[in-house]
Amino acid sequence: MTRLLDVENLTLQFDTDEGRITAVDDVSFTLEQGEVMGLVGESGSGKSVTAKSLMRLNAANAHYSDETRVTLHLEDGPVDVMALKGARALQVVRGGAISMIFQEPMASFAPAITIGDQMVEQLLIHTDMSKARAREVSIEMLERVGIADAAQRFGQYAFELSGGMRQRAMIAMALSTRPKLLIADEPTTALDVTIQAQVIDLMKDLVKEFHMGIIFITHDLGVIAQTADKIAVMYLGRLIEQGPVREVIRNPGHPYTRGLIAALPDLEDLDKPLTPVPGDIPSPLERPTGCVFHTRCTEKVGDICAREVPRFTDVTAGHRAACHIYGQQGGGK
Amino acid sequence: MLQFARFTATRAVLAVLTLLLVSFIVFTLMELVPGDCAERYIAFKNTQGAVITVADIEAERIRLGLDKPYLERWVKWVWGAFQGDFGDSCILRLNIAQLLGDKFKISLGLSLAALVFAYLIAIPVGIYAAVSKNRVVNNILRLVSYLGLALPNFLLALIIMLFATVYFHNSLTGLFSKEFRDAAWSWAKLVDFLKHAWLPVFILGWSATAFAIQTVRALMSDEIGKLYVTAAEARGVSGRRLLMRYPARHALAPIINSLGFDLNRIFNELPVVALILTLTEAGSLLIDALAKSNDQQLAGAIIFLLTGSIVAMNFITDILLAIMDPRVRKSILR
Amino acid sequence: MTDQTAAPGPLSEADQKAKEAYFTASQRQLIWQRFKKNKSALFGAWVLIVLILSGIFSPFLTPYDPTIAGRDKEYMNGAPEIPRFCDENGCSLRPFVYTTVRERSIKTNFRWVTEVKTGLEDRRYLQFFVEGSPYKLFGMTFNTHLFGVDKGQIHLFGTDSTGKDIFSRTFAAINTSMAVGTIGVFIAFVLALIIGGVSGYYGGWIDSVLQMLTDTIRTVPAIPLFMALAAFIPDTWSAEMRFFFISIILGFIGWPTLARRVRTHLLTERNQEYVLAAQLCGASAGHIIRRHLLPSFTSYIIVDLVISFPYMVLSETALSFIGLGLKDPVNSLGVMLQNVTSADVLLNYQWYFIPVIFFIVLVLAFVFVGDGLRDAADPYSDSKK
Repeated sequence: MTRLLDVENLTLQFDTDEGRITAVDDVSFTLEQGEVMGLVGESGSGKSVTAKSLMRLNAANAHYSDETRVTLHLEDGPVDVMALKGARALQVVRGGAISMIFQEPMASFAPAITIGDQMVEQLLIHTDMSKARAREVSIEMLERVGIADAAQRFGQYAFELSGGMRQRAMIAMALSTRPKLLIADEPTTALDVTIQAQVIDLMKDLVKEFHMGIIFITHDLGVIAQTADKIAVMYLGRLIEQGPVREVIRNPGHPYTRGLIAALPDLEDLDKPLTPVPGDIPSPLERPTGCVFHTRCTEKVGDICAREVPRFTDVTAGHRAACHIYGQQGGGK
Repeated sequence: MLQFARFTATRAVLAVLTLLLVSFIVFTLMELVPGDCAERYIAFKNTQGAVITVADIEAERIRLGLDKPYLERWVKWVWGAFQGDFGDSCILRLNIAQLLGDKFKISLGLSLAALVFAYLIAIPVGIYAAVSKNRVVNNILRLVSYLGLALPNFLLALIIMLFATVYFHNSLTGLFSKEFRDAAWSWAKLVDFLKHAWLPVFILGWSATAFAIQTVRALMSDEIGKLYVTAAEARGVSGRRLLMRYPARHALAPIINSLGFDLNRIFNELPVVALILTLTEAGSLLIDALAKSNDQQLAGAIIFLLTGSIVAMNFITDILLAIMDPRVRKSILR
Repeated sequence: MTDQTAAPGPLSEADQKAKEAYFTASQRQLIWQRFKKNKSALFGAWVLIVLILSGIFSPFLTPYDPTIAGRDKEYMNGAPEIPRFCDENGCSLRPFVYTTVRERSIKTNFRWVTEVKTGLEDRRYLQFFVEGSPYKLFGMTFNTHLFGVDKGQIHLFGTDSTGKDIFSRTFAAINTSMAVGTIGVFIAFVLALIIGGVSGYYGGWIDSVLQMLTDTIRTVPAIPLFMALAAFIPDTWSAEMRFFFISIILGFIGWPTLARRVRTHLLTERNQEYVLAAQLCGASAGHIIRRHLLPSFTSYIIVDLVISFPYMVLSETALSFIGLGLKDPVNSLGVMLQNVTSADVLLNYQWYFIPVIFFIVLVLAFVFVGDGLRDAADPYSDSKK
């Protein structure tokens, strides 16, 4: 396997009227080529913001810390994403080597521009194809994702397509430039369950075919279990656990991850009461000190939780969690 | 194409219905004014020294058709109005259509020019205001548009005249120089007209511009925040292309939608501005008709024509929107 | 690598209280909280309060009767007199203006000429709380004015062609404009509430018909229509009758926009569960509208009223200016500006324009407050950039 992406110490703050709000706090992870990583967390945990940082797509009031390093390893050398300046340079990570699929396919297509026009536009920006060639490629792509009458759909608008079809078209558009990394921000949340399955199957096929890395953002652990190779759990802007997907789900290391998994309905025993994670996610204006989760944690080990930020500790090989329960045994990084 | 024709026809019928309702309101207002045409005409003759009897008034009523029922007279009036014939003015004893003639066209032209002027400024400025993060620029624009609301056109006209009189000794009034006032249209007259017309256009467009800037800014800010813009940015679209093809393109429909309303606003300013700048067009005729001679026939005709222009404008923008917006277009052409 | 700056500690009791108050605050309190943060709107509100109060107390604040009764025969078309402390004859702690004399003689070719006498004995000293023309305030008669001069008259903003004090007229005009606006807004509001209320509550074909009517009336340009309506006023009516009639017409023309807003509010509210609950309890339509629906958006309606206020004032001004609105002796900006378009005034008597400044400030203050209130009532109406 070859390394595709290195994210080191990603810290991101937003300037607002109420002061600086920390959205992402010291997040580091890596991704190999062809690897699928699930990024999991409640809404407001900073997963979308983290993903958008890879394309530097956050609003103008966003501030990245000086320690933040995002490196994309491409065939012709590594790209330092944070150092890219100007719209032209940013095209590499915006639609070039990285593509993104959004949650609501309806809202992410411009309503008054045909799907075909938007696809061709992207190809013309990132490749040196002729318009006619771009059109052919787009239609091929639409066919590839399973859209019937692709040539006809090419000239239609987003509102004329069904929800599942729109998301397929979105995927076709995202993949038309053959990106190395695909970011899928809750791509199936807005879809019907049956269509969800189709879209997920499609994505799995495409990963194999195009051999690209995927960051799959979702709060649905079930979807992750089926699709991802590894998983990263976020809470309040911090990464609290990461590791191979089965290992983490079978043997969660962090109390929060345990809570998330316990909150899932058990299909074997439907009478079993659900166990929600207690409390509410704190307001970003009142970030807890120490471990960000300590205000809701049921397994606190003492004052240290409110005082010190826990470091990552190996739970098993490759499976790491940031929690003070492991710190007491004197773990390393 | 058949569906499109049907859509156009429906809109046209609606527009005519609106006009009918307006004409009913206007006609009722005209009728409510004390004293009818016959009495006025006879009163006029009286001043000429003729001896008038009640029978004369009745005869005159019958001659003018004033003895017919209310609805019948309304139908007759509307029928004429739709053909551009508003009958005679009782007071001036002139055909209203002839009296208005070019004057209404000039008024309409000035107002449309003001509308164009307003959006020529408002679209770039409004887009800039929505995009710019420069606080100073935004605050200045805000202040200007507030002033546009708070400083009504006639005050602006007065202030400009004050300065022009004090500093240039020219009050900038009128639409034509003396030598062209009654001349036939010619190239020289047109040039002279344009030399004079910029001021009324500017003044008429002033508060419309302020409103339009606010509208464009709000619509653009709205569109810029939408997901499809972020999505386009994520595909590598950037700069002016991103701005023009995405938010600006999509904010255009509601802007077109508001054009009729803006024309309405400009018409509101017409009479007052006309009075100050002593322009010889429909606005000042309206003032003459109402303030000086109580000429309800003339006033009714002018109000009907002004409203008719707005209804026509709304009709045109509806059709334009249908052509422009694929959602509307496709739902019609299905 | 995992050091983190300390975030604020646990909430103090006061903070907790404040938070609780925030979550339990009524709509009105929330709007007020947000409004207070808006500096320009708050400033506008203060200016507005000062202007309204000075309008109400104008008979006391201004030295003379604003009508023809208060004219200064000695000083017509007179320039503003600015009180001064010093001149070549020395200084005085008490500010003073000069005496002016109108004269027509062979020396002046028998034209009226105003001469300013600057001698020591011609000084008119400024005094406070002077006795002057009687006026009525809150039903009682007073004759004390805030300021005046020991002999003759003082005209801070000059006088018009009949010698009326422009300073006194300006403040009286603020009062008139506020009164016209208030009555107009009130009438528009009542009409809007009835028509918009019926339309929004019943929906269906009633709504369609009423909307068609509202839209049609909105299509007719208001000022020309207003002019046509104002032309009904017989010349024999008194100034007060005229004043009320004009206010009523303003209200009649202002309602469609408001009615639309009421309707939209109602349409969204009437599908809420609590309305269904009330209906199931057997409450009548009128009861539901009055007791349940109206309170749910009174704050918004108030905001709409404030926003529509300046348009009433401006319409009145425009009409009076044309000569179809208010007439002397009622004072309003439009009345005061009626004769200023002549070149003579533009060239020689620019102080006629002083009241304009006050009106721009008044309208601007209203617009600022209205905008501030709207933003406070609907924080998403204008995205923050």
